[in-house]
Amino acid sequence: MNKLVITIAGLLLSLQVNAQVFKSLGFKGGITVTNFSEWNPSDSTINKFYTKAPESRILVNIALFAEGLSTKYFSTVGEIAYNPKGVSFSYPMLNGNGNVIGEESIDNRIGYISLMLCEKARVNWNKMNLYVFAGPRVDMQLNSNTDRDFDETYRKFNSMIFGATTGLGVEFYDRNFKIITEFQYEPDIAYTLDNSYGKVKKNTWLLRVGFGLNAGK
Amino acid sequence: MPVNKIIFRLLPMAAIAGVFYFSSCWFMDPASELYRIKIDSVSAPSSVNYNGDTVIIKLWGKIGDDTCHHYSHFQAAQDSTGIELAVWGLFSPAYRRVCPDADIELAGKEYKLWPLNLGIYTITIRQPDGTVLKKFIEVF
Repeated sequence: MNKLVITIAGLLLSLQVNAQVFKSLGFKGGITVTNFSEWNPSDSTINKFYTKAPESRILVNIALFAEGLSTKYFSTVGEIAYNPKGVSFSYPMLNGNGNVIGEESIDNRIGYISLMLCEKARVNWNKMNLYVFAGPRVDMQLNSNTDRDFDETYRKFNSMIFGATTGLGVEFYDRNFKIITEFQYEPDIAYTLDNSYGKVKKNTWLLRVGFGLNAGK
Repeated sequence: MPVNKIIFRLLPMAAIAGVFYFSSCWFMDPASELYRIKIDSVSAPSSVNYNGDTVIIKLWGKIGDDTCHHYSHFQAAQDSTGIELAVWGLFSPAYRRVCPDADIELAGKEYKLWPLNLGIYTITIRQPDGTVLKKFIEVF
């Protein structure tokens, strides 16, 4: 598998030997939705009070990107993003008789700086580029906002998580600038937590719009 | 007009509208906030009869210093050995509403429960700082 990835990466880079080194620079922003594909904490308080599966939260991300090594169909995109990832945990609200009167949820969030390097393949159609992209990603924890019941478990989360990034989008371009809309899927390859405190893994989806300035030929 | 030009003109306007939409929510309606109430003391009977007795736990503690703070709900997890209990308050500042100073207390707020087994039954009250208060009841 590793050999195949290296071969494909080598092939794509060889196609870009005569490429335009710098193509565009810009920013993107949008919404982030995170889901725990695996959630097995060992903390007895969490397991007693929060028996329902965690639910995704919608948070806002922002990113700077640079695109280069561009040929007719391929280019390489580097990106740095602030990408908060969070979920909610619900529990039953009780009255003084122990009867359920509703449901309340507790929000937890971890803010990551995400660095990614993606290979992008595109086709041009009517002043638009339709494209797909994929590449490796690393998330580095920047901050967190967690409820007390979850502090102990969240504190043991890995602060650096390796994953992949893939997605598709469309660029509407003019000579000097382009407007981007894209959908991105970020599966984590590494576990967020994998020790005596439990086992946690997550996936993330992003929907973003962006603006880029094109470099001259 | 070509489709691309329409999109170029609409997207910035949509972005600006989006910024106004989200920011207006934050300006107009300060967020309500749930919080755990610190319990100063608990009272419960030292022993109860398994067949029929209801255990009434009474709780004392300060909810807040003004009328925007009030009691919200209990959060509990019960098993055969005991119950873990947290009491939640709600801070709800409404836009342009004054919150007069007041000493808002739980003042013996009651929680009723029925032990699930004979023996020693443990009541664990979870505090906002993560510490706990414990009471033990003999169920016979």
